[in-house]
Amino acid sequence: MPQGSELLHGTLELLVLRLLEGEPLNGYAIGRRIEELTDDALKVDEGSLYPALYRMERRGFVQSSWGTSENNRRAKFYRITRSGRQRLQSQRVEWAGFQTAVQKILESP
Amino acid sequence: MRTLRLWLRALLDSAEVEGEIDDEIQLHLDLRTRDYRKRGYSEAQARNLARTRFGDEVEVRQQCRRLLMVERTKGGHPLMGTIIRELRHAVRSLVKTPGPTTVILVTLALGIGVNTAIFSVVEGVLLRPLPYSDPDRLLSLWENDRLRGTTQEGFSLPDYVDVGDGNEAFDSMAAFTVVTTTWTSEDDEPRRMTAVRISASSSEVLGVSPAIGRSFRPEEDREGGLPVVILGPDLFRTRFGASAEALGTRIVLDGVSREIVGVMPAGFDFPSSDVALYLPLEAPSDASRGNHGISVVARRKPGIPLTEVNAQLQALASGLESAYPDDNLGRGMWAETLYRSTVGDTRDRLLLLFGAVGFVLLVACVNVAGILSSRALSRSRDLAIQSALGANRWTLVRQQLIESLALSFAGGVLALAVSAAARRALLALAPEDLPRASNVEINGTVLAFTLVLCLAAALVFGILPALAGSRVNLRGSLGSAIGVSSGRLRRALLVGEIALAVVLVFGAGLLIRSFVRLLHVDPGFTAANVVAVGLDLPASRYPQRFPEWPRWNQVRAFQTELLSRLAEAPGVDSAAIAVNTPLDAGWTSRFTIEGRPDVAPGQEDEVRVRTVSPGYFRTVGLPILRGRDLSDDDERPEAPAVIVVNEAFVERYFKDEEPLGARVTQWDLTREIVGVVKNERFRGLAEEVPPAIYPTFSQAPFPEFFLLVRSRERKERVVAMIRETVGPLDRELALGDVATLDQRVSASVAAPRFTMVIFAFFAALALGLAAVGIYGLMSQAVGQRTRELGVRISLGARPKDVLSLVLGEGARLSALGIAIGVGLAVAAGRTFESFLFGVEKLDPLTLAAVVVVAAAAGLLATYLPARRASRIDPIRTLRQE
Repeated sequence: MPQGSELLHGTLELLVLRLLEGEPLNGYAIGRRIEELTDDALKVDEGSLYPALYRMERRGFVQSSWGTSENNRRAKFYRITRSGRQRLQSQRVEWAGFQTAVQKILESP
Repeated sequence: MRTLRLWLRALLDSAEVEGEIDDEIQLHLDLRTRDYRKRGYSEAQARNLARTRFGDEVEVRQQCRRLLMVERTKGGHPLMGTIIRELRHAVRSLVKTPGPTTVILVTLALGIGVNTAIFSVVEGVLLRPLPYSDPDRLLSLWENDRLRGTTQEGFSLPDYVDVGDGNEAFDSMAAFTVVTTTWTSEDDEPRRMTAVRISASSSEVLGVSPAIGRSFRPEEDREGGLPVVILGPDLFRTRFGASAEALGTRIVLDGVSREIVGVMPAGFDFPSSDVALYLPLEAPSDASRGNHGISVVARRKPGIPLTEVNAQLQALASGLESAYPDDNLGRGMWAETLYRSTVGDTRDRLLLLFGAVGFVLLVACVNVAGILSSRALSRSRDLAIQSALGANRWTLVRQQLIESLALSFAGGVLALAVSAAARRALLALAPEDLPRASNVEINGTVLAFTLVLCLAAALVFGILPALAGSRVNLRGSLGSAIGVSSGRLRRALLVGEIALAVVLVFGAGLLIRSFVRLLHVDPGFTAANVVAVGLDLPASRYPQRFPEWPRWNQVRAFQTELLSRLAEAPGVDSAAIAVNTPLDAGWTSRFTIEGRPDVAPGQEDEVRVRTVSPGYFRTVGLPILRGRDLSDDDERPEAPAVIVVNEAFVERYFKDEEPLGARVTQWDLTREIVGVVKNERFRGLAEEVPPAIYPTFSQAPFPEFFLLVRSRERKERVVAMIRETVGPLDRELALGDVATLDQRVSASVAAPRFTMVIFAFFAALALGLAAVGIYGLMSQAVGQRTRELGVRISLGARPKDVLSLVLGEGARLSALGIAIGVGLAVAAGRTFESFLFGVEKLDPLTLAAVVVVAAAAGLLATYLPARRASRIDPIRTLRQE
């Protein structure tokens, strides 16, 4: 089901950017945070998280730098960039439009 | 250097990238494991769960790496990282198609291998500097004689001394002459070896001194110096175990005990590699100005060009002409580099082969280009997708070139194995007198050449398919039609391949025809069943005092006794002695004919003189055409002096006169012509027969001569029998230069045979490669036209029509290639001219044969794909669409 994964991809990017808006996080923390915030309702596909992060870095939405993790290990932290914020903005608008559209169908007689 | 650093950094970066990704993923797994531990799982369980949850670690890692490397590319240098990645990709995709890859590798291994082998010979023989200090300044000096038309003669000793005193061009000069000497010792058979008598100045001229011991001293240049000898490095090793104790000991050479005073350093082989030892010049004080037996090597002063040297030599020669008109009238002097005189015409032969082998590599490259372009075609969908995804043309070209490089270097590695075998074969086929043959080896220079060849080949065979592949037509490739450009490229490759092969086959044809012509030359004599051995009677036991000449009784007694014993030996049909064997140039001497107008002294014609015993003509099978043979009676001391002359002599000097009874004076001895003998070839088979006279030994004795024995026994038995006959006469005589006349004939054509065989092999290789290439290209063409041909068949075309359609295309292209090839061959004809014998450079027969052979190869290679095309099943083909 190619459509579904497409959707997921977009969603993952939206969620990651939203989380990074608050503070720089490492990859694991991003995954954990999504699980915590949704009470484990959404489980991140870890296999696609890192490629997604690298891809976002490549497109300039996030920047990475090496720092120290909570358990004092070397960890890569991602922070949102200016164009990442703009991207987040447009993604939120698109998501809202998508939501409305789906809602309309669901509520149709 | 900069590039190298970038590469290294790219390698390091690529390692660093891997490290970063590993660290990140590892951290993730560890943290996840910790969380599971908190929930009460065991360490092992927690770790397993973490892994399962993460998914395909390897795949994730790979995705990340690709993304990260592309990211780095934007930063500049990590293009190298991309290249490394593409290299891996290329290797993987090559391994996935083992068939074409194998054909490519074998083609390249052959093409590059034979090139490496020929280059190793070119490097060792032609390119490596001579092993003397500052070898560019070393010159060989020659005399010539414009009255007799000779161009390259040795110096006379007095001329050498005068040039040494009078010139301002040379730092130093040395005289030498190559001789044979017999070494006798109590614990071994007597042995003949090649020695060089050389002046003391040689170590200064060449800049090489003995490794141990001393050089010769100036006083040893003259007769009456100390009896000394300097060993060559090989003799020192093989006979003295390289022990320095040899110094100061004595050996007996030609009956003279000589003290070993020095040993030349390893690798020293002046003037050629067969020299075993060096003797002092020991020149007689009364050496004649007319005797041109001295070779001269000189070191020119720095900054004096060869033209200036030659001007000085010419001036000195004119001075000597007026000072000594009797001996020097018409004599000139000239110099060439020692390199040139060492390498001789081997240079031209090797360069010819080097050129030919380059053509082989070109054909190989065209072949590989054909295979690659067909691969590019079958991948055009891939490429189209890539370029749709934004890969630019340069990226696509680069990927293809990287693949070509990978192929080329893999082929290069295999080529080294091929070249090792080819080099052995080359040296085995090479004439025995190939100069500097021991230099031939695979060394750094040769490897560097191979490397350059690989790079160049990769460019040549990679660039066309790469450009063609990068020009993929998006819509066309994603559909199923094929771009026009690929067809044009294919046809161009096919035509080029045939054209290149035709040039080589034409050259080979000319060389083969020349060689066959050469072998069909009537040498005059009958070579079969004659064994020749060299003998040399040393002056210590066989006095050779010139005031007594020609009454050298001991020499004559030995020779007469030897022949009379051999005449009775079992199995001997006939035996004779002669100063030279047939095909050996021998020497010339001035002469006059009685009753002819006087010629000024010094302007007499020269004639070849071959002193023989009466049985010579019978033994070598030369029929007497007029008059009579020499007889034993002529050998009696009181008998009137007589000679036999050859046809060429009669042709030149007795065209309208009766030669028999005429009297010829040579060496102040007047002899009557008693017979005319059939021409025999002197100086190899190719050269016109010169006028020659045959005096007997009693009139002109020589202590150094060849014994010729005609016998139907095997060579080994004949040689053993000769040994048993010579032994009782003189235990200390060694047999030298043992060979049958057949072997001598064969050796005389060794150089042209070498050129011909190697060239023909290259031509066959090129033609074979071309045929394989044509087969591949035509198969590819048929493969692409399957649908079209299927449609034709379904519309009623018979298999025969399809067959002739495809064959027709192949034939048209072959014809074009052959036409271009013949054009090239005609243009290159001049290159071959000097290697030909009895064949014109545009020999029509050869041209016709080449056209037939190439056309046959082309048609054969086209036939198989054509037949396959004619059997296309239209239903299946159309269903595939």
